Amino acid sequence: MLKPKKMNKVLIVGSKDVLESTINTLYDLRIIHIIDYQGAEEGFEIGKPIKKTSLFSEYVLSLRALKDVLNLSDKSADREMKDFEFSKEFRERLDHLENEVMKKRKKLEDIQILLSDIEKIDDVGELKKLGLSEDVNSIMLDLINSKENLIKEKQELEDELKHINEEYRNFIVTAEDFLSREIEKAETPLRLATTENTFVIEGWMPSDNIEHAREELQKSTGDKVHVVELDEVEDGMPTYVETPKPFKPFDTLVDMFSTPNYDEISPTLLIAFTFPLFYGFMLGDFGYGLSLFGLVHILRRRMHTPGWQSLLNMMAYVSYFTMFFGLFYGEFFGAEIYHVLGIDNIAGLHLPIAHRLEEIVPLLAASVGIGVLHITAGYIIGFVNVYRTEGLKHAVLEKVSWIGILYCIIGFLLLPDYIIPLGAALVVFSVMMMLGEGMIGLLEIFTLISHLVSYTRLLAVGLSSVGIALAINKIAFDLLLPNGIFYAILGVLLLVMGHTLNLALGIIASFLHSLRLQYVEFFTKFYKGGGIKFTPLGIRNEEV
Amino acid sequence: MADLTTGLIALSAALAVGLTGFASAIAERQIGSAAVGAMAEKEELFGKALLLTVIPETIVIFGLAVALILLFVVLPGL
Repeated sequence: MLKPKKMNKVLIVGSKDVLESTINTLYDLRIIHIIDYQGAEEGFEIGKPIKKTSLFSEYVLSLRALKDVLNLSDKSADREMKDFEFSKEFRERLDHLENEVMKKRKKLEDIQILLSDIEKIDDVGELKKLGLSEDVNSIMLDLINSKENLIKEKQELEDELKHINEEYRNFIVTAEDFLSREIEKAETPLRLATTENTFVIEGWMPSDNIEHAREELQKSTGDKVHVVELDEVEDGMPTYVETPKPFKPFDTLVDMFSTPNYDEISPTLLIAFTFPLFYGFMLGDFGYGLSLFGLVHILRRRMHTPGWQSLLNMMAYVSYFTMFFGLFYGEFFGAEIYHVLGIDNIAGLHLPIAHRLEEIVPLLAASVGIGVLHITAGYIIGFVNVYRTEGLKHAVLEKVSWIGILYCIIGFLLLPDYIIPLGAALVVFSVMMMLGEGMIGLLEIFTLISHLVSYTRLLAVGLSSVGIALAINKIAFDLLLPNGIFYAILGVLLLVMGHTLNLALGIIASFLHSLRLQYVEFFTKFYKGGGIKFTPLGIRNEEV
Repeated sequence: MADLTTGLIALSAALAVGLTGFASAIAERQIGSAAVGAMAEKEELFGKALLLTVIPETIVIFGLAVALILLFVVLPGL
């Protein structure tokens, strides 16, 4: 789950008459990351595409144009087409549809241009004053009078296009999807090495799946394909981390920084916890959390692209944490929720557990404390990574030493009485660290301190948001609402707009600062990245 | 009347936030203009550009931390 899956290089060798069924099987299995053949070996040449491609490409071009004109580009096929009738009928249907849509589209554009011209004439006003001849005048007037008709015609065209959109949407999207896949399959031989009668597919496969792939291939080709497993370790091994589905969206955050390389632990699972935690700690308002939750659910129905869906899934987690911290701080749109409700403890627990404006110092300490834990986690992952690649000695010198330095610094702050033993320990750890990373590492100690202070943003970003919310509430409730109906309307307006603005700011600021803490403070402790993402044959680029 | 020490502490807190705010602004100005330039070439860089632009915000957060410590730790301790 944390470690990238073990990969093996495989060679799939077979005779050319089963090439197509081999590719089909591999495509459906989504299992092999093909290494493109560069054409460097003697006796092998790059394969030729399977015949039907050119016809398919033509269809796909038409379908994509239609998709574009009808605004379907963000729709994905809701069912997969398994097979397809390439009858004459299909072609005629497509041609007819394309003609129809393009013609209507053109007409619509013409009308629009005409309408905007008429608008201009309208603006100029009384034509008679210009002293044009009678003929021109009457033509102009006719034109202006035709405006109503044009608008009606425009409406009709738009309705027709909408009708076509609804009727053929499914057909267009599924056909385009299917044909694009077929084209990709047909072009796969261009990535392979072939001789006159045989082909060789070279690629990476997760070791656990090789047996399964072999069986499937032999079944579909009637034992005419041979799968060879190589025990090679080399550069360019793709990384495939099997993140459990609920945490998948957080893969995007890691990949945005850099894909993990083959030898290191993927931080996705940890980030799936710390990112929403930090976010909630900063935004921390029950009202805002609830609004965010609502917003996510509205957008989920509207935005269907994979990118949006994964962002929204992530924001759903975030909203739970925001609501939790809202209860923790006792804030509801900036108001003190427990105070308003008149509750001050539940089961002996004083509420709110921490008031952000009154308990600044404890919360400041808590922020840095979270930082210490987060950074320690970073060094521990770093330790495991170095241990696995370079051995225990390096791991201790490079990572354990840093953990020691970190806790010595914390020790100076918390236990000023033990300054001498702590100082001695610091010297020991620093020497260890310099053995591991060189003299330059000494400068990094200051970076470490600045990283620790940097975690105070967990409180600071939140404080600014509370401040704005409080100011809005104060102006609205104390100054505007009690002073007559006019000011009351103004007050309500201020409440709605002010909190919307503050929520927008809070969503963006918390997101960026939470992410920054991961990238700058956390990743620098262990993360190398620079890996190649495992993209098996059968997953199209848009889906990644 | 507050005494001179209180005044100086308040002033220091103000300076800490104000001046670091300037520093952040100067740094973000440069990153911001570069980011807009990059986005003009390649629009999908928006996410990364936004993230890079807020990196120097750390400076003002340091200032804020100093101010908070001055006001809520140093001042009550006097």
